[in-house]
Amino acid sequence: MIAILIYLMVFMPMTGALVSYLIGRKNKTARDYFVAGLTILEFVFAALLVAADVGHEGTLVYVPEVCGMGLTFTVDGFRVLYAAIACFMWMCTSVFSKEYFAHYRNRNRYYLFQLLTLGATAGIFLSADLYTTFIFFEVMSISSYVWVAHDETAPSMRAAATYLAVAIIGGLTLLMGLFLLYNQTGTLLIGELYEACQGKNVYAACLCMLVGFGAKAGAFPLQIWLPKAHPVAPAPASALLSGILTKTGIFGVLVISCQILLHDAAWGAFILVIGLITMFLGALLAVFSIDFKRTLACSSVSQIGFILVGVGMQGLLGAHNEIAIRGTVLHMVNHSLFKLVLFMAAGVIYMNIHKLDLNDIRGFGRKKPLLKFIYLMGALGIGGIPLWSGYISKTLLHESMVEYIHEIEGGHILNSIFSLHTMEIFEWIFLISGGMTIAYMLKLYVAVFVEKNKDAAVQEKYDGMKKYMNPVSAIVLTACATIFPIFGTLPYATMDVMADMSEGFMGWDHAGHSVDYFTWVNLKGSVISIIIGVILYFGVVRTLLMKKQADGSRDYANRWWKYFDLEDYFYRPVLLKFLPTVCAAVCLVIDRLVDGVVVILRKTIYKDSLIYKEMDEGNTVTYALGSLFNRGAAVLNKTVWRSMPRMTDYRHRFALKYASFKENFGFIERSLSYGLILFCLGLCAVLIYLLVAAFV
Amino acid sequence: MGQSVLILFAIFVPILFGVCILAKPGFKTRKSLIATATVGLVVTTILSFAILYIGDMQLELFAIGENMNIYFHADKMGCIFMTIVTIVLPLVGIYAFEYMGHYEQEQRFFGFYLMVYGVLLALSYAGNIVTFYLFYEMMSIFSMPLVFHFRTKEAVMAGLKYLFYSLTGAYCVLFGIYFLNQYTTTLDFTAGGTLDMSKVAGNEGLLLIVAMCMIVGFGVKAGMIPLHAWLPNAHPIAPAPASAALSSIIVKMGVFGVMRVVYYLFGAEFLRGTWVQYTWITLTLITVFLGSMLAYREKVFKKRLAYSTVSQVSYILFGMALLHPQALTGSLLHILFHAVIKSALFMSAGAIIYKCGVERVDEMRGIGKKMPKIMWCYTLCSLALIGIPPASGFISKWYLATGSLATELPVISWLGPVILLISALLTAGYLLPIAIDGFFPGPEFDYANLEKKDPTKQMLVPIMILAALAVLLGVFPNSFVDYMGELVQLLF
Amino acid sequence: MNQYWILVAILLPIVGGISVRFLPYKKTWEMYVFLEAIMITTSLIVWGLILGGPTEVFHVVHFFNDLSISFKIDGMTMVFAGLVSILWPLATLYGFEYMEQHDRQETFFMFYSIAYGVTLGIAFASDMLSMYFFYELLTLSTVPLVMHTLKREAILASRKYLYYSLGGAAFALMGMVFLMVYGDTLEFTLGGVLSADKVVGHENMLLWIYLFAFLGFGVKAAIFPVSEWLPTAGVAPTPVTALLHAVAVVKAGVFAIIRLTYYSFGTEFLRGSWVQNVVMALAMFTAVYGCSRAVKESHIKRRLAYSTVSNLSYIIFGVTIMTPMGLVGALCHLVCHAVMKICSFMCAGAFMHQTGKKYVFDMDGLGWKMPIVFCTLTLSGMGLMGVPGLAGFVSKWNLAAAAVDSKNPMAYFGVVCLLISALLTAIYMISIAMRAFFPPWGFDREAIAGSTDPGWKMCLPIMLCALFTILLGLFSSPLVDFFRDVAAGIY
Repeated sequence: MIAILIYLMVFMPMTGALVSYLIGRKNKTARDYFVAGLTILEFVFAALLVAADVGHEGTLVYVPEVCGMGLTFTVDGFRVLYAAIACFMWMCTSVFSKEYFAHYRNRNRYYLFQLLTLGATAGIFLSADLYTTFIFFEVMSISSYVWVAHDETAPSMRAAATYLAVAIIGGLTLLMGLFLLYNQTGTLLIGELYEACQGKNVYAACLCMLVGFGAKAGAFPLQIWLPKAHPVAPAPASALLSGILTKTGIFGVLVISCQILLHDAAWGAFILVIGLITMFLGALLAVFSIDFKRTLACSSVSQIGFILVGVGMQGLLGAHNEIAIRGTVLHMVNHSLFKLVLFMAAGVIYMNIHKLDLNDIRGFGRKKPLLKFIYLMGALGIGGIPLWSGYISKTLLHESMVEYIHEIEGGHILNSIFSLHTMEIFEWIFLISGGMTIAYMLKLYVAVFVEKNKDAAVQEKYDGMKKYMNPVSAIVLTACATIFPIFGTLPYATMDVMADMSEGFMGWDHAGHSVDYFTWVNLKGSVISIIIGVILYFGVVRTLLMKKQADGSRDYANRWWKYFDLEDYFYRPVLLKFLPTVCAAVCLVIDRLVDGVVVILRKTIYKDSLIYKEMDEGNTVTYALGSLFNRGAAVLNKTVWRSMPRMTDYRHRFALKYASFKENFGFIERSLSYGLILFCLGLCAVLIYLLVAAFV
Repeated sequence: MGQSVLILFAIFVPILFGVCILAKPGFKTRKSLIATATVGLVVTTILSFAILYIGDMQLELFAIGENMNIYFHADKMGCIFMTIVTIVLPLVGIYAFEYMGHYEQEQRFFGFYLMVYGVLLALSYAGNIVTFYLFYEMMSIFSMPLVFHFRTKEAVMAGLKYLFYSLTGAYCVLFGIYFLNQYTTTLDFTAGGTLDMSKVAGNEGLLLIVAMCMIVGFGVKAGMIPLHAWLPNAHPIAPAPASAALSSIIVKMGVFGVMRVVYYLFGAEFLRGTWVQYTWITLTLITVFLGSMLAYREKVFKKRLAYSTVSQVSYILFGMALLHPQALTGSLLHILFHAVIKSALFMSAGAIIYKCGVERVDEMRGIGKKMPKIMWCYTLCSLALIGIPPASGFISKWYLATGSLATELPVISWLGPVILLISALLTAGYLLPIAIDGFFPGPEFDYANLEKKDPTKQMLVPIMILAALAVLLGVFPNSFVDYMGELVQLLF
Repeated sequence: MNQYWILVAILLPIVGGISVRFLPYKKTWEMYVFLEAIMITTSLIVWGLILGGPTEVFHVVHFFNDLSISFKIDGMTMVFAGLVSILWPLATLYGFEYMEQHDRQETFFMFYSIAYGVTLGIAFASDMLSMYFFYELLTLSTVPLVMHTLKREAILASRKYLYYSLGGAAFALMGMVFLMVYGDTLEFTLGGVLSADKVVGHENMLLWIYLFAFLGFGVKAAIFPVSEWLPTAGVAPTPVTALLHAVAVVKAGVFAIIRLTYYSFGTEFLRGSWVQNVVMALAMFTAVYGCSRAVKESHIKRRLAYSTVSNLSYIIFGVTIMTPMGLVGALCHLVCHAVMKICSFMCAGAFMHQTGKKYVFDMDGLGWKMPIVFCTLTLSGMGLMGVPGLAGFVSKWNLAAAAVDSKNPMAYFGVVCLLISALLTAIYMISIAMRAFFPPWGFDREAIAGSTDPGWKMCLPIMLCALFTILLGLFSSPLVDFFRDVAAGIY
């Protein structure tokens, strides 16, 4: 039963993709319904899998012979949960995208690759060994490229190129990590990895894998593609990109931290630092950004940072890291659903006015209560306001940090990596980032739903737009939006169930106990963040980040310094300009080495010898000397003797001289005296020889 | 005895067909020329498949000199190469019937093409190093006319350069054969090597130099570093079917030669851990990087594919240089995959150049829309070559890298996979942009007067078969992996 | 067949040659038939002697104490005489058609057949003195052949050839004198004639004398410092260059060196000494030098002449290994090179005869116009290159086997030089073939429109030699076994 469901979930979308492509060539609407139907069916299977999984934790499903070492899938709480969430998000976006893509080109191609990516994502979440994960990981990277490159405009192609480059580099580094791991442990099955890695130094392998998965998750050094890809990708696609694809990266990071280096403090610290940087940097970028979807993208980066902080805390807290585990899982789930809603909202805006710059879409949502409600639900959730689901996961993460601080104070952890002081600084960074989240969500809310547009006519047009969404999209959006308050108010019934399901995967085997969320200690953290957020909004956003225009109104200005862009001023120059030129120069030298030698030989030793002309007069010496002199005379004629050039042919003169010399030498030769001279020379030579021979 | 005569026919039927095509002053119609050439191809393919089916066959022809006898032995290793030859060459032949129709002097092309086919089969059956050398030199001489087929000035120069580089390599090999003649029990290929340890005792140093000479000698044909310059020079000028055959099969014969020498004459144990192994590995790694870097910088499409051949064939040599069963399985797999992929790539390049008349890469915007089928095959093959998992390149890279890590050589065990992956990245860098520009030409591409330029069925079907093969071999490689696994056991 | 037939074999061509000059003929083809008949009968007699001839020494003229002109048939004679007797009639047949354009044919063919008799004399000579006697006669009989066209450059060339040969002979004479003093007898005996007691104090001086004698005979064998005369002698008509400067004269030089090394000084005495290294170095350098000059030349006959220079030093390299296997390799290359080189010279001659041009770049596209000539030229080129299946490969195989067997590191380097010069041979021979068959488009066709293949008299010898090259290449084991017996001293 489990096996059939898994096969269906992974391979049905892929075959469905081809079918949809064929249907699409004939009838567009039939294809839309087919795709929507397929995603709904997929969600049903996912739900069935969740139900079926209860008793059969960890059953391995092995597809032999395929791709060399065969594909293995398994089922356990976390994997099934996340497959279900993925299918849910695919369903929502497919239904919404039917309307979104009403007037788009190349939809056939889009749906083909969307379904392919769905199959691959399902494959990743259900994979049991890293070999299968890697195979589906690569397929997902390549097929998701088409989303970013869908519009085929210059910025979208450039962003897509960056996305593909990061995906391939990440994939290859991950492959290197797998090679090292496979070489050291002999197996890639996730279940057996922990025992296999005991007593072995697998840090190098884990580092490579972290780079690979981190690139896809959007962690600090490689987050460059997220802020660039989202503004250009279609809204449903960017919802999936930041909602689910980043989570596949986090899935990989979890495999490393929870299955290979379980309770490893050093690794936890390292992940924590990366998480903090990503969190803070993402939030900073979001605050400064003036494009609706780019802000959401940077917020994704920051939320991934939050999740990595959770993962880091799991490592640091070691055996009793239950709070960190629950926090990480819940924050992942929350973030996926937040981004689904927020990006669909952005999609609605873009669908109607095809603009995303804050100054243009100012006041769009003033007279749109439903959109306002949907956005508010998402914003409050992500901001971590109590009674919304975001608060639950953020509190858990905050709690895990606080608990770690108590443990250091209490002396339970002896030589902990971070001193008490640094941990407190980290806690403050966590709270400030939470504040910044609230600040930029507030900024978007005020810009779109509160302020009036500068140009009254435009404002009038916006207010007149009543039918901005068809009913189906409206239902989907409102349904998703209402999840957050429900989850937020009844955490024990919903959130805790999900947390308990996933603990098995995270290496927590005792029974899960629930945390009472609404005590003052927990609320305090959230209140501090809200206060920071409000202060930041009014202190920084309203003042520094707005530029006073001539006519007195204030516009949102992009104060982010051009050179801070990591991609354009570090990655592209180094990877595309500097390294290729240097290496190509070296390679060219090596390439031309042998050819050069042959050419030099051909020019010097093996030069074609002159064609042997019979000399009518004189000999080679006179010829050579004569031509030398001729050349000299020609040069001199041009320079010194310009006034009266001498036009004598020296070759002829030397030949005549040689002929006369030969004649009179002939006379001498025949004369007797010449013979006598030679005879004397011979005698002297013999005399000298005898003298020398005598004395030696 | 009856069966083994089959080998004789399999070799001399194509050569005879080739000779009679060349000798015949002129064919009445082009159709009769194509008919004779097809009959030649088909008969030879049937014969070689029969030999493959029957299995281990031997044939002793005659002896030129004291222990220089012409001896054919279709062992397992020979069968691998024979399968590649019989898969790729007929397909390229069918492609060539269409392609060469638009150029003159095709009679000469098909004559030499069939002769090269026969000689390649002979090479894969050769039982001892002298027979191998005899047909190795004949292959250089017969394949040269394929290179300078268009007889422009630089085509003739490229042909001569190709021949003189191959001859330099051949003479290095001959130098090695003279010494092997002295220091081995027999010149026949026997798994595990035939060095006569009593004679070898004193002068290992000399024999290592000899081994290095032979590796570099055969390396010339395989495009290894010192003498690889002919490859990027010969490919852009040769007609597409010739460069497809050249880069997928004839280059492999250099690799086959190295395989025969290292594993069947010297034996892996003799070379393990010696300076020869280290220099050989460094040479291959430099070539891998050099090939893909220069391909990345190259703007002429076929020259880019030529540099890519240089780098990909050195993957295979790297796998062999590690002298480890796993790595050797990886290199054998890569021989098969690269032959399939590269011939498809060259044929698609030929179709693109011939149909759209574009030579350079940056003129190929929107080609995916004009020639969708060709570009789909091209994209599949390039994904396979880069090593994206479902396709075949990934499998061989997997075995190569794990083999390299398993050898525990001090630095090389991890540096090798790193360079392989960097080169895979560069491969993506020089293959994917063409597909991307092809399929995503941008909004201003005028879809209005777009007319489909896909070539006729005859050119398209071989490419599609090979592209499908490239992916299917990746998804279901295990029958090949097992076959090579047990073959490799014999050698260690 | 008793001993006197040796005398008949030597004197018949000489007398026949002279008679050709002075007998009145109405039509030239009568002279041709008469001369060819003489050549063929001499060859038959020689082969009769080789197969069944007497083996003991046959003294003809006695000078004082034991010096004499005497003949004997031993292994070396069989090889050299056999080779010469096969090729000479072919070359003469070739010469008939070639010389039609030239005048003074009688004098030409007179000296041509005299040279044949003298070469046989060298072959049959049984001791150093008689060999030296015929060696000098050969120079004298070949000088007028070189000078035949009586042009200025022909005269200069023959003068240079005369100076070189006489200078060389003087050095050789020095060697012979020391052999008389320090050797038991001048008789050629495998393993050397030097008597141990006489030599005891003077090894070093004798080594120097050997070196001088080697250089003396080396003149005719075109060793590096003294090889300049061979390319300039290329101006002679093709039958001369083809036969004499590719087969008879130069091979006589090599034959003399083999006699000097194996049959007079003896390899035991010379092996391992500094002389062996010097001599081997000279041979190796000449092999590469000859080919390098050949690559540079664009005059077809000078190119082939330089190629002869380099191939001769292959043979000498074989000799200088100073082991029985070395001698086998040398003899093998002596025969194979003779056949291949005479074939390529004759093709070159046919090209010059038909088109009147001399340079390689005039050959564009001629391959399809003169198929027989250029196919055989390519074949002999491939043979010289060492393509397996042809004669060159076999001789290189045996030479290299000897070098490897001799365990002398210098010999290993010698094999390298052998292969480098084989590569250079490939370069200059293949470029000729490429120009003939596949010139780049745009060569002017009307320049070669008129040329066709020459008559049967030229084509027959060319094709026969090409056939020998292939036969020697494929079925060389009986010949190589015979050479092994010669090197072991059975014959």
